[in-house]
Amino acid sequence: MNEFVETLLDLPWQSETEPNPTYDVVIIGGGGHGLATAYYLATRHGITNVCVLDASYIGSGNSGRNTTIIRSNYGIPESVAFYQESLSMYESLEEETGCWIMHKTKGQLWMAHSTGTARTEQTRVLMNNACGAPSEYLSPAQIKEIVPQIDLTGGGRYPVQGSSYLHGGATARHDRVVWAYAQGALRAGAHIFQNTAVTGLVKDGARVTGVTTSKGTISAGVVLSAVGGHVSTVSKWADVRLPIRTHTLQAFVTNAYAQEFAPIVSSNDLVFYISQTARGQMLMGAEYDRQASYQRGTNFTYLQSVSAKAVTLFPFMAKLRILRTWAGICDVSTDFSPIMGYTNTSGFLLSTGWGTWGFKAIPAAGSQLAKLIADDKTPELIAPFALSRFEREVAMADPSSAGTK
Amino acid sequence: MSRLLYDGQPIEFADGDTVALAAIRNGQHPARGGTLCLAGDCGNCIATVDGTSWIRTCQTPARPGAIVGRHPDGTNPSMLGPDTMTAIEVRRHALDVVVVGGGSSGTAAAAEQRAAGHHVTVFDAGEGNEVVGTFAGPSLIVRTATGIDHVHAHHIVLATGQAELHPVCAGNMLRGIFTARAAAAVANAGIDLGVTVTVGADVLRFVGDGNVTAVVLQGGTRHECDAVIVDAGGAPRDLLARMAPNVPITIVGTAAAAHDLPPAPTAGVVCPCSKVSVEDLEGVWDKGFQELELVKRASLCGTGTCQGSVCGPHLQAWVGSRKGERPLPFTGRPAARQLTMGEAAAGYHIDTFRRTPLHEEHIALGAQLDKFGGWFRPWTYGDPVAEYWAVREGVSIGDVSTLGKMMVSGPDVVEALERIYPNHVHDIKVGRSRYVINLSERGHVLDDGMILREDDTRFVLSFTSGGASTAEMWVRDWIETWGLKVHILDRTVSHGAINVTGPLAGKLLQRLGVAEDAIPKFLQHRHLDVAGVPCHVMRLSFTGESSFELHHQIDRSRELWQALMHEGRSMGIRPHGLQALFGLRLEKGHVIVGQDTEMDSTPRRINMDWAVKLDKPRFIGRDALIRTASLPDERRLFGFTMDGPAPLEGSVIRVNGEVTGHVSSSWDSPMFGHAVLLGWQKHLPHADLVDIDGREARVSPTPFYDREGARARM
Amino acid sequence: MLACEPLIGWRIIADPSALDTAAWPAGSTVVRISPDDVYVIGVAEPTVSDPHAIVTPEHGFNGATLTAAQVADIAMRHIEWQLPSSRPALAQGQIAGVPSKLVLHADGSALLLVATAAHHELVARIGALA
Ligand SMILES: Cc1cc2nc3c(=O)[nH]c(=O)nc-3n(C[C@H](O)[C@H](O)[C@H](O)COP(=O)(O)OP(=O)(O)OC[C@H]3O[C@@H](n4cnc5c(N)ncnc54)[C@H](O)[C@@H]3O)c2cc1C
Repeated sequence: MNEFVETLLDLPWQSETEPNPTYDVVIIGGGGHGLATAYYLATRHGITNVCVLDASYIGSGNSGRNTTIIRSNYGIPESVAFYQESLSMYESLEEETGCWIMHKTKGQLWMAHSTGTARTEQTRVLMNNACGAPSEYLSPAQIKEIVPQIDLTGGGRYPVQGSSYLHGGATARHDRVVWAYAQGALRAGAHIFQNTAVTGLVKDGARVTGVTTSKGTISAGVVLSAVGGHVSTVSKWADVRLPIRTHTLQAFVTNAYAQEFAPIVSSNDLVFYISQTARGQMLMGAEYDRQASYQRGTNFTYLQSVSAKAVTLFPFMAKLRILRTWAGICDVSTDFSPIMGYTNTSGFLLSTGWGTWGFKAIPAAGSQLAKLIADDKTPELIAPFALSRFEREVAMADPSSAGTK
Repeated sequence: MSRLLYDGQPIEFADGDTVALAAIRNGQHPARGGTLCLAGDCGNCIATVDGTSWIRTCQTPARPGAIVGRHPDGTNPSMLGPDTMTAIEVRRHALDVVVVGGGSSGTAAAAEQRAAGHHVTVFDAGEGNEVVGTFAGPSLIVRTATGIDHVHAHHIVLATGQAELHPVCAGNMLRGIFTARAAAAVANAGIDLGVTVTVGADVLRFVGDGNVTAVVLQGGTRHECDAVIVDAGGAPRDLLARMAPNVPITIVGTAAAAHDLPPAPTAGVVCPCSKVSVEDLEGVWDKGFQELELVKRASLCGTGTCQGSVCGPHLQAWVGSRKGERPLPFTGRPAARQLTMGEAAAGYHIDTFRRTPLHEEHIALGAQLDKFGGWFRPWTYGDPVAEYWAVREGVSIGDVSTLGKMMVSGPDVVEALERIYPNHVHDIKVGRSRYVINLSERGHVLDDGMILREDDTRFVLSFTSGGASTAEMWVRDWIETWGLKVHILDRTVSHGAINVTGPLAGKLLQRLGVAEDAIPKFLQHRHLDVAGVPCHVMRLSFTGESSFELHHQIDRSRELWQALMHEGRSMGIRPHGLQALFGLRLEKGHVIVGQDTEMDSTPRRINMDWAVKLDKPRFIGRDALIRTASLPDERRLFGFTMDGPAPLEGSVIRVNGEVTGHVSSSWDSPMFGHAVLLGWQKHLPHADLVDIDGREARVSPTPFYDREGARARM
Repeated sequence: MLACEPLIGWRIIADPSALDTAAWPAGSTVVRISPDDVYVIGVAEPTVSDPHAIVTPEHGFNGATLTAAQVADIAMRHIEWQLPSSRPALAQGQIAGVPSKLVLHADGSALLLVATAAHHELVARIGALA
């Protein structure tokens, strides 16, 4: 058996082949967020009468399509605190679940190639250190020590002026995170049904009391929508309007090479990021496609632009062969921060606005939402991210930390 | 015969050999084992050729002196090595019909298309045109002998035929197994494989130790041999069609033919690229991974360098046999004939940096130039403090050519501007100007600038350098949306602008031919010749001192700049860069949109309610401001002072130990001898004394300098 | 290298109908950037019938004259979009990543226009001409 199979966890599916007529909590979407919420409900709060429904297979959405970067170097205190909690939870997730998720702390560089962005990155370091995410600002020489392969002149056009450096920056295998939560949730007695699309919500007056699915109607104490890029469809059923637009985000990997590229490297001016996977592939991403879309198509322009940026800073990459490109559809909020918790429609909760940055948030968001559902009270850590912030005009605006332009 | 270096050993090859054939000719397997198709479909002949790894050697012509190395056993090749960045030439072709594949079905399809009156181009890998991928945008990417072609085709016909099925059974990673077409190619090259046996899909196992020595068929028949030729049917090579669902592609010939899946494998390696065996598939299935995609993701079957070309049909068959229904193949993604990142990047330009008309002047003056908002601009000429004093005490010039500049004219122009800006517009007199902000529909500050009235129906607008291009779209979109009659000319790049600033600025203009009584008063503007250069002279002030922006056609910029520098020499003139400018304006408490504001900064939050006239019936953002006016608002921008040195911009502001905001602008004021700052407090109650960097800072009203604004009017 | 020199012309923003009916002197080059926007080289001071028209000298472009063969070469090496097949025509888009215009004349030759502020990038990227 190869090591990937050998080290694989298992998915102890429930014996029921059809959903029960009623659950305390129905979660729409078997991505990382939906599954983590089920996991924490069942393992931390004893709420096991929970059902996760996915239209396809678990992890088929963005949770199985992302570039796996885990970082907490955001620009506003509320976000740094939230993502730092998530980053710490990732560090102990293997221990907690007993599953090898290939977590690795690598450190993340976020480089600046102009005076203006150098200032942004310095600002980031100051804010991060003040809010509990250890960081430092590095000189070009210090950067070269961490990634000796870099051309500090940036091909003559993008000289590296400096970089913020987040010590705790990490990656983990995306699928395995999804499966680890699924395994834990199933073991604790939650149900997960794949190939079960939710087609509508059942309402009693203004209150959401269940879902209709391709396998019949299910009643629910509360319904949580965790459907990634499809959130606008689902929230419309609940009469909830969202400040969210769905955009395609592409990524690609090269073939596998020897482990020679240690950190996660991002560039603020060039807007792209690279890391090397546990299998040895170079994994790259950049900003989302401008045009709002529900399509998961990839295009050549994207490969061109990201390759050009990568090769500018890392000339050796010119001869790496591209293996595969893919795309996901991202729920991008207007303030580039997530939206979690209750809505004005009772019985209906959201976990959305994860955009291009929600993989890192899976442990913290799942555990906090579970706590919210169990205690019926919004935990302080996620209170700033309630949907009502838009009514109250207190956006969690943080565009320069989203890794996109 | 010529020679190449193979794993450090020279080997001989014949004319026309590929690298793979050269290896086989020398009794070697081009990689380490596994069935060879020699058609580019599988990953079993992968090696490193001349520094590039993951090369299908069966598609690579052998070249005298080439350096070929097998990938290390069990691990991956290094990605480092000498940086040999060769320029790759890109050519673009706009074509009518493209046929991929020059075999019999391709030839027939080409003839048919020609008969229908189309212009047809055929790409065949054998002829040196390898189609690497299909995409939206340039629809075909083709690797040629000289570089990369980007082909924009109206229609694509795929006649790529079939890939041969590899045998999946025990022993299938041995050396000495060939598909039928591979064996023919080897024979064609005059290479003798010794005793060969040809078998079909009914192989039970291959026998051998490293090299195959026998094959056992399902009935139990055993053949001793030196090589086995497997003729087990094929599967369509339709990956190019599955890559780009939105590109018009027709598949013809055997690539389109319905095909049976092979029998579900029971032993052996299914996916040679990722070394996944049938046992592995059973392992993941037993662990609960029971969807094709989950089997793939959990076992990694199909995720290697051939992206499922070899294992796809076998995996489909295997999952189908478990589930009782044939699953769809997995998504095709650009992969088949992989591009290097260098090939992908070729011909692409990341961005374009603009230069102001004064670029050469700045260089001559030794300026430190850097990119700001896509422009090269002087950060400093070497001594920002001296630049500062030149502005405060004498005269200085600055290049503000990057400002957004627009002329608008038309019968509806006042109405349009009243709707765009939250300030009044109709009462701006001809020859006068007004400071304005732009709001989004949500009432957030987008930009700021000036409105200058030229006559009843004509205005000049300015915007920030960073906001100029967005502002242009903003103004055009709204005017178009409202259907108002307004002509718009963006002059950002056709007009230069020089800011002459300092108490002696007016004197300098006089020396350059402007009559004393012609000098505009504060917030007036006038068309005047300065040093013989026609200028639109706008009197306003960002630095706090008496200032004149001279807007002019860019071909006169250098002449004007030189005249100002020359005539100002006796006044101690010095140009100033952005660093000094940012400090000067900070002393005046002027915000820089984007630096001191955030994406949700309302006018109230930055203390600019005065620039908003809610008594106007209609302007962009009005509804939002009215809706939010009664909400409690904790977020506010403050001025602060503290002892120097000035803290770094971005420093955290604390009240009672809690982080409440951050410093958005910071400057050691040469004038005051202490630091002046702008910064955010985002939680109530707002404190008068805050902690920055462990030091005390005190809230201060702004402007810090010349509160009455007398100096700008001097 | 591309000889891309500063140009002096006029820019007129006016009602499309006024531009449609305007008479331009023989020998002038008329570039209709959009229905309400025209750039004219080779006129003294143009007039149009729209009283609100913006009529102003335009000194913001550099230009290069190209032969038909040079147009084809630049299209092949630097233009990721399809040029119109008819002549005369105006094509606008990125050339070597720089926003540009090609005024394609009836005889196959062309005038390449680029903002003066970015022309150095275009010249460097196009390099030697066929
Ligand atoms: C290319 C790419 C790169 C990224 N890189 C990073 C990164 O490096 N770091 C990071 O932190 N984040 C990254 N992200 C973002 C991150 O992947 C997502 O924010 C995160 O995975 C969202 O998880 P989710 O559970 O909310 O949604 P998803 O994982 O998308 O799950 C939603 C699920 O809902 C299901 N569903 C939808 N509609 C229905 C319905 N009607 N009924 C039933 N089920 C339904 C879908 O099938 C899907 O499985 C990236 C995203 C992409 C696309």
